[in-house]
Parts: sequence; C-alpha cells; structure tokens
Amino acid sequence: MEKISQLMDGELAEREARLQIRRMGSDASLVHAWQIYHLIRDALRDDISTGSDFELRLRQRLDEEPTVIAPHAHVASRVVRYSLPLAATVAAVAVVGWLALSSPPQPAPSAAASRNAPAVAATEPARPVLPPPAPSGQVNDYLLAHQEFSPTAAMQGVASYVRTVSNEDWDPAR
Amino acid sequence: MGDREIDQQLVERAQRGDKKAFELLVAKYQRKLARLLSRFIRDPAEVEDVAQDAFIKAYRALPSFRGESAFYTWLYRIGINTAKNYLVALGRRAPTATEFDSEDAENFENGDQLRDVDTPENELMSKQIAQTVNDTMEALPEELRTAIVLREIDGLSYEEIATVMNCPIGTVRSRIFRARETIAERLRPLLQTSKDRRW
Repeated sequence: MEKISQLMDGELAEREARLQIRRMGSDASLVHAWQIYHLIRDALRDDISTGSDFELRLRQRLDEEPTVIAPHAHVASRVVRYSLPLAATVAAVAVVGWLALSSPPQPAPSAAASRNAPAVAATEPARPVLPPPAPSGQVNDYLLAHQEFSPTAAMQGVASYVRTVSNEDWDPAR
Repeated sequence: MGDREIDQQLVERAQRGDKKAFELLVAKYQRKLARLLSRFIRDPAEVEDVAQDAFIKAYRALPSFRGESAFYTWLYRIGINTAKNYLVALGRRAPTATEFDSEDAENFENGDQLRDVDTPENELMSKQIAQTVNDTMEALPEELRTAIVLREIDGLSYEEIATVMNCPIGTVRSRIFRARETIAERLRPLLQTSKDRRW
C-alpha cells in the first residue's frame, strides 16, 4: 500500500511506477487503496462532490461499452514522428543516387576505342579535324593588354604575374 | 514518475483494452470533473449525469488521445463540451467561448469549493465522509498531520517536506502513508455501508 501512496504522489521511479500500475490490474486491494487515498485527497481539498454510487453506476455503463482497443497508439505516433523524416531522407538519397548512376556515360577514350581507331581509318579516308580559326596577332596583343582583368588577377601573390592567356599560330606540322 | 506520466500509463493500458485502468482514472478525477461542471450546471443530479456522460465520451474517444496534452486537460475539455451540449439541448444558456477560455482546465485546482453534487439520499454520506476525514485529521499525531497537510493541501514534494520537517525523505514517505492509512481505516466501515460498492 505504501507504494500506491508514493505512486499517487508521483514519488516512484518510472520502473517501479509501471510495476505498481500493472499490479493494480490484478490486485483489488491496491485498487481499493488507490480509490480511498484519492477520496481522502479530494476530501482534504474540499472536493467531495459526487454521489457515493458514482463509480458503481459508471462501471455499469462502461461494462456495456465495447472494449476500446487502440494498440500501440502512443508508440505509433512516436514511430510516425521519427520514421517519416528518416524515410524521406533515405528516399531523397536514393533518387539522387539513381539519377546520377542512370545518366548517359560521358564519352571517354578507352583502350578498346584506341584499338578500333585504325580499322575505321582503314575503311574511311582520313578527315583531318580542323582546329578553330586561329586568332590573329592583334587578338594576342589585346589579351596581353587586358590580362590583369582576367579571373587569375584576383589570385594572391605571384599569380597575377603569371601569364595565363596566350595564343600562338597553330601549325599542324609542328 | 510524475502525475502526467502516471495518467499516460493508465491511458495506454486502457487503450489496450484494460477497462480497470480507465476506472482508476475515474476514481482519480470524478470529483474534480464534477467541481468543474458545477460551474455551468446548478442542479447537483444533473452535474453527476453530465460527468458520467463525459467519462463515457472520454472512454469512447480514447483511441484518438495521443498524449499531446495532459489527460485531465483533455478530459476537462470533453466535460465542458458535454455540459455545453447538455444545456443547449435543454434550451438553456450554454457557457460562452470566453467563459470556456477563462476557465482553463489547468487552473481548476484552485477553484472555489464545490457545492454538494450529491442527490439528497447521498448528501448524508458525503457529509459523513468529510466529517470523518476532518475528525481523523484532528486526532492524528502532529508529525503525521503536518506531513499530509504539506503534501495534500500545500502540494509539496517529499523532498520539500523533508526539508521543512527536517527529517529524511524515507520518514516523510512513511508518515504520509501512515496518515492516509489511519484515515482510510476510519472511512472503510462508512463506505462499506453503500450497497454493492466495490470499496
């Protein structure tokens, strides 16, 4: 009974409180203590108000009610609270990963391609790939004059003195 | 484990089909709920009927209770709505929204004393209970009376009571329990006179 007294005062540790609540489900004397201690509390606080058969009448009405079953309602709400954001994160990572992996591969030189190249060359006449038109010497002068405005000019130290832009006449023969 | 956590435990058990757990909540809150309802409904018998209806509605609504508010706050809201609907159905003036707002359930602990809600045949019983409790309190040894008054009237924790009474917490625990048991012993014969009552 002393544990029930502590329980109603909120002075039991959680584990012990759970145990006492569970015990009340099967021990009528503990339920009786719970009822009468609360009656005393309410009497001391001038809360005596309901008829003496209030609980009996209510119990009879409750007996006629279908039993409420809401298993793990509280747990479910916690699960939803924490699992949904986690699931959303996982889904987002999965989508991004899938998009990245399923994008068309970039053409890259490979050994196989190198091996095939002579065969292609043998079947087709060689077509020299022309470079873009070479800028004239005037453009080169212009670029040199405006080198300080290039992005590298913002670099610290000697970077601004490094020649970053240049042009030479392209000579396929060299 | 605090008051709210204890209620949550009982609610969760009731949600799993344990009606006895809900009855423990009824035992705990029936008089507080009745005191609340008596502010809106004058007739004592009607207060009791509406309180019964409110508890039944709360029981039916248990699956929707998620513990986001304290159980008693939730119960009191159901009680107020039940009282409002009851008064409207009778064509009487229901409390306004402002009255509801101002009567926050959290503040009912310090409300005025409730009129007797007992029907005439139960009124005597209520008075006898109150008289027995008061008489027994007067007869308690000083240390027991002080301990239970500090707990039940002043709402102090065991630790605070231990400080006030300058004694170990274990002693406080024992004194409060002994005080309750002494009063309970006096009350039991009185309560057992009520037919079919499961005290």
